[in-house]
Amino acid sequence: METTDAVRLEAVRKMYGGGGGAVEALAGVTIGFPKGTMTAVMGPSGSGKTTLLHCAAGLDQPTSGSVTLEGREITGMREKALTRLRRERLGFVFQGFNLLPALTVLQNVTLPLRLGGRPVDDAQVAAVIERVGLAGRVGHRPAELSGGQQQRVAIARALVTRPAVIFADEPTGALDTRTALEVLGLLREIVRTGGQTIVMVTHDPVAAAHADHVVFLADGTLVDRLDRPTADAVAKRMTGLGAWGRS
Amino acid sequence: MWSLALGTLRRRGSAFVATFVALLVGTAIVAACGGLMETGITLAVTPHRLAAAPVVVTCDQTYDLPKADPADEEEDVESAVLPERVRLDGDALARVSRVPGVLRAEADRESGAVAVWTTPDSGEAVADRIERAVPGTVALTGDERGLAEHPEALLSRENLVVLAAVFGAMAVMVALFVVSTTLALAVRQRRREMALLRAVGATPSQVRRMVLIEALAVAAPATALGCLAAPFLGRWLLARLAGAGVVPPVVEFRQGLIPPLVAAGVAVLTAVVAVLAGVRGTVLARPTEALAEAALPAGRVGPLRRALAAFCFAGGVALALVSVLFMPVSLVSSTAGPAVLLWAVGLALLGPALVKWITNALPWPFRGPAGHLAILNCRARAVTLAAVITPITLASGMATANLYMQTTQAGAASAAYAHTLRADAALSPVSPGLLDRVRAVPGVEGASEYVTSTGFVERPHDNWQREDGWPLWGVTAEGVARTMAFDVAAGSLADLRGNTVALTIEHARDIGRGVGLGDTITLRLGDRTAVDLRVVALLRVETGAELFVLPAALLAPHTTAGVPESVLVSAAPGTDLGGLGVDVRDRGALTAAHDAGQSTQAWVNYLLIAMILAYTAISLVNTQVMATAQRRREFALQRLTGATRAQVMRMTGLESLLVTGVGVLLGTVAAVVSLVPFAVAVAGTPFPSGPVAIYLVIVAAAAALVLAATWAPAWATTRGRPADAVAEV
Repeated sequence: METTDAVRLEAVRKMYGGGGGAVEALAGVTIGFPKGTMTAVMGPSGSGKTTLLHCAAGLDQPTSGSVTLEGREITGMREKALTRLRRERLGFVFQGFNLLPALTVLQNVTLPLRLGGRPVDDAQVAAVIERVGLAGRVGHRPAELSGGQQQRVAIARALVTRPAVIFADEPTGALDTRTALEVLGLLREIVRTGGQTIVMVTHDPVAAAHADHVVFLADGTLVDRLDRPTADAVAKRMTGLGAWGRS
Repeated sequence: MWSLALGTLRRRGSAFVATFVALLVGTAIVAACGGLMETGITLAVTPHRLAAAPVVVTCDQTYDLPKADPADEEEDVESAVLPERVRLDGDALARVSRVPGVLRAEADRESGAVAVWTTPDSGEAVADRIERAVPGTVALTGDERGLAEHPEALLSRENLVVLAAVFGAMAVMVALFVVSTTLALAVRQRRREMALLRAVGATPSQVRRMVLIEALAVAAPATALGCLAAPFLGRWLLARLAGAGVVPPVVEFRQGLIPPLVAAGVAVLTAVVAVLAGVRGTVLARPTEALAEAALPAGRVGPLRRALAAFCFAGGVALALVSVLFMPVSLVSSTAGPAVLLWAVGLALLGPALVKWITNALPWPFRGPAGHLAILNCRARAVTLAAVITPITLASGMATANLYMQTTQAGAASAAYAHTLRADAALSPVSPGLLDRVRAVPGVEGASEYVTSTGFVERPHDNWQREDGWPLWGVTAEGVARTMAFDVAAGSLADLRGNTVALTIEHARDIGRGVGLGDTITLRLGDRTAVDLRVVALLRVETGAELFVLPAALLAPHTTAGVPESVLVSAAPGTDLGGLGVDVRDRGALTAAHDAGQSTQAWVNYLLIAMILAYTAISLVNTQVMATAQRRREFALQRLTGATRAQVMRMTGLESLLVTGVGVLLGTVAAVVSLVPFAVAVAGTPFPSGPVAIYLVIVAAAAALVLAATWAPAWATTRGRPADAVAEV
């Protein structure tokens, strides 16, 4: 089982602050995200789902426990090595402020390649942009695009390095229902055809229903799990967890 | 990285406007100061009467101060410029004529110089031969020849060089601070952007390189423009200095390549250091911290800043101690000036923490929702506010300290002069026999000739002597008691006839092993003549007012004018001095003239301070405009939740007043801690003197500047519909 996990967290704990004011965001989480699947992480506000994502992606260091990416231990890695890893093996899609306002669509998409000093394969970049449906928009700047289009640029940027795992933090949080469905369809498509792994944090049962698995977090621990979810089932579990989060 | 950096610059140019302007103005000021310094060193004076002669021979106006131990080869020789025109010996013309290569030599009656004609191209070589053949002469060629006509220009060299150096150094320090605050703000505004870059795979060094390229791309054109502007600024400054009498108007502005190169180097280095320091926190932070929604930085002051601040304060205290304990009064302002800068910079370094503390600790008198919000905003935005408060602190502190230093010093000097002057009128011009005719006028109780010069103590050795020399006063023995209020400790000024001198009691104790009444000292007068003088009186004066009093008849022939400046008269009320056919100035006119002489110096000070203030104001306005424009969404949100536009403006207005208040408070602290030791040293009391209006104007100007810089962008950003502003990402 472990060998097929793209990302694996082992007894990960994360504390914020120190002394009496310390807050435990993750209280010993063990979970694997299998290769070629899409997993939704759900939970009420403050349940630790964003922290889980950050630790899994090497954006943040856990206080204790271990995180492995494609079998490689990433906890304790130096910042520079982590950065290189992020650049080459991981992709990110955030809720808002995903793009650099000064750069065009094309420049935003090729940014990770240029940061890594890798040659830009024009055909491959064009294919990625085509895939997210923005072929006619490469020269535009983020301010000239709609929210859904901006999010698709972010997805294209996440795809351009052919990463093993894409981490998405509320990727549909700022979008209307129809645009959200388009973006989710795109993510689903990526997993199906590209064999990539997606870990998505969301509070939207509809978004979660697009995933292969849904895991539920509360107070920093895993409390539930749902395979082949439907929106209704997810909504019911969430209601069962108590407070409806709005992150 | 290049395309990313340049793309950012193109799209977000406005964020870098402040840095651009700050670098441009800073470079211009520093390069102009360098130009003034070069002008002082070159001292080019175009010859007019002597322009036709390729070589002009004059007497050497420099004088090497005697050493403590003439046999000691290690001891440095200090060189001074003699203030009066040194005349060539009678046979100098004949000796110069005999030097090989000299075609013709002719004496210039007015300047006493010798104009020399040579064959073309041999000027320099002949000049060298003349200097060797006739010791004690200087053979001038090219632009230097004008110095023979205007030897007074030589005296201005040191003033000009020192002034340019002090002012240039201050400009560098201010530029360092202004540029680093504007750049730090520009970097901080893009915190999230950099966090995003880090998240998608930029290494810290890549981010650092990007901002570095941005800073350099801004610095290059800014410094280039600054260098282009420098000669104009330098010329303008020199004209102002000439107008104030610091430099003779005949001195020409000279600026080569070195000043702009140095200024550009300083500016670029400043930008690089500032941007690297500014981006440090952002780069070191984990991307997640910076991506977090609440992007208000905490008001913490790191150990490095604290250490630097402590260093500044220690320097300020040391300078204060030095000014009170060791400095001669005439030089106190040269320690008090830097002291206020150190205090202000120290306070500015602690800015964020101080601002937080002050806004929390003080009970602010604002009421109503706008006032309440203003206070909350100031507390929450301590770091951003510190960037605005820093220039206010610098500007108000420096303005207050320097202006009151000026008034305190002028007040003390004016009081001392009025105290010393007992005469009722001064008559000029002085011709032979005027003194006797004045004495014959009915009602005249006493009259004394009056002439001033500068001299040096030749023997015994004077440890206090500096290259500025000592003031020499020439008076008439019979009239001095009636016209000047000297406090005589021993001997009598009535004995001041022939080769005699009076000096101050403390100074007398320090010359050689101490000299007393009846001892002989050798003085070197302003035209290099050495005279042996017998001490006939010892005077009591305040420390710093040391002088030598000589018979006017002895001193006047050794000045450039050759005659006394005036005859001081003390007479019964109603005495008519009009019949003498000379210009009569009464006591009021005399003190006014003295004060005016002081104020020309003050004027230079004002000019330099004004330039630094204008510079600080530019950064203040830009910082505040940037900080306010950045709050577009916040203002829109407030209006959506029910605030009227007037309430938003009221809130920002109150915030400006808070900011001004804190900045002026800190500036005042910096000024007071420098002014008190200054006043103790200069006037003997801890209270500086001067009109309160100066301070009020400074406060009002600061408030007006901040208000204008806040309201203009606030008004502009709240113009549209609030919903549009909130909808923007």
